[in-house]
Amino acid sequence: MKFVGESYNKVDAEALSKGNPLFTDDIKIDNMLHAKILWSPLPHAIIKEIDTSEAEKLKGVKCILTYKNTPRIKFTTAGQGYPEPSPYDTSVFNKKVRYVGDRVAAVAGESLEVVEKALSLIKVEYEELPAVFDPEEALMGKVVIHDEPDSTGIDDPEHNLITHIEATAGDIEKAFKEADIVVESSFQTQYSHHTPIEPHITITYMDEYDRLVVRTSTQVPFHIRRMVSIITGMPESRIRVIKPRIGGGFGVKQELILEDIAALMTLRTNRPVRIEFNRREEFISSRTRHPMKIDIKIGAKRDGRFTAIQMKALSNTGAYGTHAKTVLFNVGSKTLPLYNKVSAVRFTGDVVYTNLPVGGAYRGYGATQGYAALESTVDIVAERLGIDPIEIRKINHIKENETSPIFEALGEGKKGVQQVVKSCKLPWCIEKGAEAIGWKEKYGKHNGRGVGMAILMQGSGIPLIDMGAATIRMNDDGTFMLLVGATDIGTGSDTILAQIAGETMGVSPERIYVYSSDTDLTPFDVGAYASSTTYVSGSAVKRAAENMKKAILKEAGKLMEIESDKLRIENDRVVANDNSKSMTLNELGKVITYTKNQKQLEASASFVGSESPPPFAAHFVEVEVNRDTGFVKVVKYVAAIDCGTPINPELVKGQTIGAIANGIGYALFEEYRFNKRGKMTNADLLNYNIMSAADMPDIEVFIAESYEPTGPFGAKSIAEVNINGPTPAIANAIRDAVGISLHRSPFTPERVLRALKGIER
Amino acid sequence: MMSIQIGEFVHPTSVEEALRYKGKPGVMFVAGSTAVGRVENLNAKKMVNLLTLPLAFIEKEGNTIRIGATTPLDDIENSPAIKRYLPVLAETIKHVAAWGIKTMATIGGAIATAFPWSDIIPTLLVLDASVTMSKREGKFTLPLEEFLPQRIPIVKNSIIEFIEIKIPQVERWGFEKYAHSSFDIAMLNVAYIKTAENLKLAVGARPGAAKRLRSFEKTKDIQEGIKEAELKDDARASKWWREQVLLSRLRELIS
Amino acid sequence: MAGAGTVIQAQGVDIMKVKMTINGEKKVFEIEASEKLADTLRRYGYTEVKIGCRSGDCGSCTVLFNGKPIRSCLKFTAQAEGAYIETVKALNKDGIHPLQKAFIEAGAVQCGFCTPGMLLTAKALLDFKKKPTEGEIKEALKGNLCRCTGYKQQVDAIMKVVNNK
Repeated sequence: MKFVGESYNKVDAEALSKGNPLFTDDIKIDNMLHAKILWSPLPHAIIKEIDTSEAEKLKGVKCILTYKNTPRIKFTTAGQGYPEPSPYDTSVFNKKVRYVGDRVAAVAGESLEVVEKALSLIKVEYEELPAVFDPEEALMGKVVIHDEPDSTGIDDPEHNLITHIEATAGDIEKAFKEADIVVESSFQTQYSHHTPIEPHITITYMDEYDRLVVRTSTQVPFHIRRMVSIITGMPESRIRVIKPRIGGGFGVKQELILEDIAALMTLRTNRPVRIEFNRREEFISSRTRHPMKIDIKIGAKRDGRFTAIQMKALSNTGAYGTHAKTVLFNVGSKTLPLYNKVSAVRFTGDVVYTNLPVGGAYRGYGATQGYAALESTVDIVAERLGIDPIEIRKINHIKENETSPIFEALGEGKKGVQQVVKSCKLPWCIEKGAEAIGWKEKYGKHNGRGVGMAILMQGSGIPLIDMGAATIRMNDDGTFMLLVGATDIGTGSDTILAQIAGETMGVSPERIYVYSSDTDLTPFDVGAYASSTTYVSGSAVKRAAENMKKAILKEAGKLMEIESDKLRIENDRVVANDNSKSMTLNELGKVITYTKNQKQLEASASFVGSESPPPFAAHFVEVEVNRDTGFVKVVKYVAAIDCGTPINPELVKGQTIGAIANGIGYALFEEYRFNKRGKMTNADLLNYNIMSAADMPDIEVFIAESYEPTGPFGAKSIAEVNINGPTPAIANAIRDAVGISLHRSPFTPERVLRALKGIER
Repeated sequence: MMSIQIGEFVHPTSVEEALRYKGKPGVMFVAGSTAVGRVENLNAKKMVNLLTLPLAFIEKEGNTIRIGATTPLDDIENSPAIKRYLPVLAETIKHVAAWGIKTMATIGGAIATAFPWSDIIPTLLVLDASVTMSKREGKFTLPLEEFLPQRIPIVKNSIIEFIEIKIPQVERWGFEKYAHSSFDIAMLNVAYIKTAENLKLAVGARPGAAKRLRSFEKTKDIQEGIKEAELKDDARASKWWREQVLLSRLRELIS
Repeated sequence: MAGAGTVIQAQGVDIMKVKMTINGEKKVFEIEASEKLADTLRRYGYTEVKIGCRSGDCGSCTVLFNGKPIRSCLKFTAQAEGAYIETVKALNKDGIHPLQKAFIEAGAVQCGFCTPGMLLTAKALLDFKKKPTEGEIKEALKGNLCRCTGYKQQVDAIMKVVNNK
């Protein structure tokens, strides 16, 4: 392959490094209004009365929105395919507030000063209700959070239960009876945030033809268009959503966060409206990672073979149910197939409302929490049996050409899709990683330094649901425009899609200009989530490029009077296979556009995956635990990954290292702190710490040689899987270093020291 | 809610000129703005820029080092004189924060705000720093330890001019900051210097403000030292954890 | 507090004039006393200065102030009179800068939001230290937060430039 597999520089890297005005807020718009939102100070209350009259009188205030003057329809804010597998449990503004940070009203005005003043003049009379913060308590139903009859998609609102999942394959009781040992373990994860460095921001305006334009920092432009259309009543043909460069997403921008408010304000004032989150609002009022309690039960034979695995998850979705069901499904669907040798497997899950910040989509999407529990429990089994953690995984993990009943039993909010794993280089990944970390020399010393590992899988798109499309057009100079709905959120998808198109056609990616994520101009794509872009959007690009290649060879063949199957494209020329004749793409372009057989050479294609081939990874970490303070230092981290063919190895490494950095923060210190009233008390970057350059360990990434037959040029995906590794791998390394078992993340020095001294909090 | 209202900025070029604004209603003072710049709600008729005062200097006079109040922490950290004569201070500043903060934050600002988690204050306490200020009636000097608990009323009508440290003959010194990550503020910090005659030790982020453990300095009794430190719970760490950590630190020091 | 291109609201507050040099060009800014340097710069078209937190934590607002990195989201513009300011555009005034080239080639630019701040911190570091160690580079960069990359690529890029000098 000439172009796929090469580490091309990202197509936007130079412009970004020069600081070119590429982000949502980097444009000058005249006559723009600023908007801000009034947030609830209470965790649970009815809005008895809301009086905006004083605020309206303020000079410079142009629009105030509350539940009284906004559409009463219920929807979900989740950026998912329609009909969304999330409850429709919110309107633009509700009559009730359900967490500290919930929407109450919004004001647009000539300046932020005026808007802030107006917010303080809005009088709200609340009838406070008792609040519930613990999911187990919420299930008891003493406090009911969603009691509106027009909310749908909630299985048991009276117990705050959005959904209960049961999926079993095999005879689970029998399988546990067959075991020589049964290990039960529980793990609790915490609230955490994606912390993109660019907070949410949306600018809306009416264009010259009175169409609504939504310029927004989003991962899901097409879902946004649909949702804004439904909420405002404007047809999609009169709405344009543009995604500029965005400053990180990681799932928090797979959501309708500001676009509905801005759109309604622009429609009412006929003026551009700019609304953004400050960092506190970003933490409290956007979305979070669902905190979960996960119970694992593993039955194993003395020789290490697992006979049964049972996983029970209780997920806290906070005040609204966006992504609640699907994240819960993923806890089991992306973890349990990994150990497919069991005779029986069972997953039960519940996701519950509480009066706390809202869980949403976050890289890993439930698998992160699932692996924290599962992979740390596997090491407990290994320890009880006296088997090396590497060996026990080798015995039990899924291999190429195998399947698991979980693929079909658990999908995204519903049944999944049967599939056979056609590419799996986990054995190589495990060997390579173990060697690179120095497992043999370092494991089992129990001297304050230890090593730990985790094996992981994820998916590549949502099968039978996620669709992406691409259009390729040839310019008259023989260069190309590649139009894709696929959403580059900094990941480099524009770059790799050009590589795929180039490889298919035999044309250098440098001749292909990628324009993406503009609902007016680019074909549909679900957006950047579920690790779908390379596999799904890439497959659409490949198909479109194949069609374009055929068209080029056909037209060139007509002009050169050679059959198209005796022609190839090479070095920007169409060349006869016997090298007798050739013409440049530029010549072809000129003739085909202006002179003979004139037509626009253009090819489009769509793609939906019929399966979701998992990427795999083996993570190894070396830690040093200070027995006097409980501090855990990550000394070295090794990731050996199988993403299928790496379209661009540098970008694959980038995704891997970035996900691991995020995961280490989640393992060691990222967490929300709340006061007794459910208010987040550390909503800024000083008090909610993320990894800095000085915290990073020595890190090595190895990419397996792998080929996924169903993927474009053998590719699968890499976006999410690696974020799942650090928590369990570090937990396991801590066990190796100092012999303690941790069941609650993050592993702060306080928690570690207490475990060391055998003291419960 | 964010509301920053400033009527006008003034830029005095002498301490006498700046003093004329002290005690006047609606007047605020700003040096590096790493503290004032973070405030979300402020209303000031006049904001007095302290950076235009001639107070950014590092001087050595005989056995004394003098650091002007508006000297940025970055300059102190990298000063050859500080690295040579007060290495514990240079080392402490390394831990303080990002480079982009240290180029702005001033030592005067650090002691005027005296956040309980401040890394610099415990170190200045073990160095027995003194603070020289000017008020309308003239200059006066206080040991830092005396200045800190009264700083709010003092600063109402005084301008901090410089701090002064007598160079100690140090055999051993250390500064330890215990924080969740390289970025976080301290959950506990400990500064000490050991001279031939004595040990000087201060603990900060207790979570309360930094304190010299004078009793422990004399008796070297670890249990007494823990009691003297008066550690407490806060959102970042429990009293128990702080005690465990201080225990191990003191043990190490005594051995 | 204004977004790029917003006309500031006078509202009875005096407008000040502040002079400084940006990327070698002498400029006069008309500001309100309460304005922060990051907002003033963005308002005058220097949108390469990003605002990620407004609390001086993330470093995406980093500019060089008389050669040293500062948090422009905390700095009052009124305190910047006479300063020599560099935004990331100062690096590529005469074609692409070796640091920018190294960042691009090392895969250090993902979403790019932290990149201008990172580049300026790196430039300042290399101005003050000819051959920083990897540890010193990490220390210097710790004030520029990035959520995309994991920092290895930036550190590698800077080491490459250091070793090529």
